[in-house]
Amino acid sequence: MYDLVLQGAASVFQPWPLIAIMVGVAGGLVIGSIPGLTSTMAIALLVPITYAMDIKIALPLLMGVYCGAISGGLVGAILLNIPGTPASASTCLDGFPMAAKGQATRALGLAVYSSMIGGTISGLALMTIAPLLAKVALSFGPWEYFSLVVFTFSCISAMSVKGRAVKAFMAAFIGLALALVGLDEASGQVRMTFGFTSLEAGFNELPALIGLYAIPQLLADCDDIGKAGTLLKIDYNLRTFMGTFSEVMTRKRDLLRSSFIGIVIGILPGVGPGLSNIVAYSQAKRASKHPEKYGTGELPESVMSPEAANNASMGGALIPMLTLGIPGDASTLMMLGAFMLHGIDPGPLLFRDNGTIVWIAFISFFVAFAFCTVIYHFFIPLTVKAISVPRYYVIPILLILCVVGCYALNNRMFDVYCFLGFGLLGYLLEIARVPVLPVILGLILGPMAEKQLRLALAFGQDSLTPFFTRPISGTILAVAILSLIVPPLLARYRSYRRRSLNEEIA
Amino acid sequence: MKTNDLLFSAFYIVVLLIAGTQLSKLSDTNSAMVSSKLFPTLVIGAGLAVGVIETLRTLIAKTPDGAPSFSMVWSKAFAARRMMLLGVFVVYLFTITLVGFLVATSVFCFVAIILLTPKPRPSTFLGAAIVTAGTIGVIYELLVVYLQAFLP
Repeated sequence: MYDLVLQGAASVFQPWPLIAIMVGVAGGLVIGSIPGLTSTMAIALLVPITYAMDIKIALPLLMGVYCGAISGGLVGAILLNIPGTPASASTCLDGFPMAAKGQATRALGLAVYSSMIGGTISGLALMTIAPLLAKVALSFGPWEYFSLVVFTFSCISAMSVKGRAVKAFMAAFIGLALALVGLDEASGQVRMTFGFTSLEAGFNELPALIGLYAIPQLLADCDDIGKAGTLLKIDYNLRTFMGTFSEVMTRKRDLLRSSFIGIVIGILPGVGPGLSNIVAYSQAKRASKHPEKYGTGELPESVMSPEAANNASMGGALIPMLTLGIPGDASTLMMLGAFMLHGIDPGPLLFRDNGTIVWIAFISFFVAFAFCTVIYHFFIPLTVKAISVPRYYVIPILLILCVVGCYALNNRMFDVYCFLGFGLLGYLLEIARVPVLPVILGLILGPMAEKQLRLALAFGQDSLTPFFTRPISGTILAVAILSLIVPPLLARYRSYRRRSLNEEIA
Repeated sequence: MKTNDLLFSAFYIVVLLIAGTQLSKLSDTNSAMVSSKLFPTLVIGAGLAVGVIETLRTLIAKTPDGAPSFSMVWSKAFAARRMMLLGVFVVYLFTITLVGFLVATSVFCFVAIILLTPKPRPSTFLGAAIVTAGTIGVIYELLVVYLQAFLP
């Protein structure tokens, strides 16, 4: 193992990978700070460009963008009251009021240092939990893998807004149906192509990912053009900024609790930083001696908790992606696509066959956080400027980059047309208020589900019993079923309790 | 919102039914290992069941308070600026093969910036021209010169 660590470190601590991380972090910070441009979109745009690069440079670059873009969301949240990414939604609640009181540098400092600590803790978790989980996963058979896919789909309800969980499942079925298109490798039959030869190779995941995310987002961004955000004037002072580090260190309990929440939520497939920051904020408020001061921008922990949690989720989300090939959130889904594009299949065998790659990812993650913190000290004025770049310049450029990225995959216009088609599908889903993430999950996990189901039925002589009788598979399926049944029952019980309590009071 | 949900359910069911028509074209074998029909049948069957359940649920359920109205959702979705951008983008994609990537992209970038700018002034045209030239230059330099990739 130590050989692999050293090989990984030797690969990362070279001029080009370090430059790649630094460029990735800086670009990610700028993209993440622009409201509406998420880390998912940043990685989606970057993946095709990395196609021609060596994986030892591409991976550090992607890690840099991943860390930078999620962390960058805090700038928009604190200075504009618009979260740059969903991961910073709760940071607005106290970050902006704190900045509005003339303490913008303090708010930024608290958020940046707690992000760094949350990210570092999750990096440690990634390095310790991931190899252990990979060892356990090596004993997995097709039954366990298929159950794991079922579990991932059962988590879809968590991705949807209240009352729209079934719609999210419908989106997953659309993804699964789209994954069926093309040549079936096992039987050699062509499926669902409607006679179009271009469809025989199936849909490439990347145009689908980029289209589903970029087109609806960029069209929606058109609405913001001409609307001036209330950008605060900040008197940035490096000494004040660095002084917040000691303030952060006095809130160790809040940092640890939020980081733990972030890691656990990050590990769960389908949910990630977008949820963890909300949970961490609510838990910090519940644990606080002064919950009434939340929302006023007075307490440092109210800014620190969501930021520590969303960065901690990043390492957590990488754990199932690297060890099981199951993405933890939308950004890691893009990373999964990037790995596959470079011919590397994440999963337990990755640790055995490509141990160096795993350690390059781990070490790049740490280095990216270190760069992120250093760059923040000097780039805050630049990120403030990035927020105010007019959207009418950004939108056409991003669309052009998407086209170039999709074309560069196979040098064919068909992928560009697929990008447009998936974009229109994503736009329709957005109109119907249906999340697009389940479509992508269906598209990526569909082939894996079919392959594992086939193997399981073949090894088990067409019997479904082993899915339930094998201990790990049975447990995963039980958890999947519980995660589907328990939340609606709990919600119903809570509303019943609330009703009866109101009746008693009346 | 209810009309919107029902429209989505109808669209979903129609899509799956169309996909279902393709199932009959697949030949099946007795072995699950090489059956090309088993998984698609499961997906489309379960998908249709979920679609029907959701349609019935939508019909029975009350419209939640504060949900946006059908006209509000669609007027926002088909807002002039969004549709203008989408239209220009679709035209751009289909002209790439006719006039070449560099020409089509230059025109698209310039036109899109002008169309998206709330109140275009003479300086907007200059800004659009500079951004267009910069974008084309960076793409060409990065992809063609540095990465030696092909452009559409």
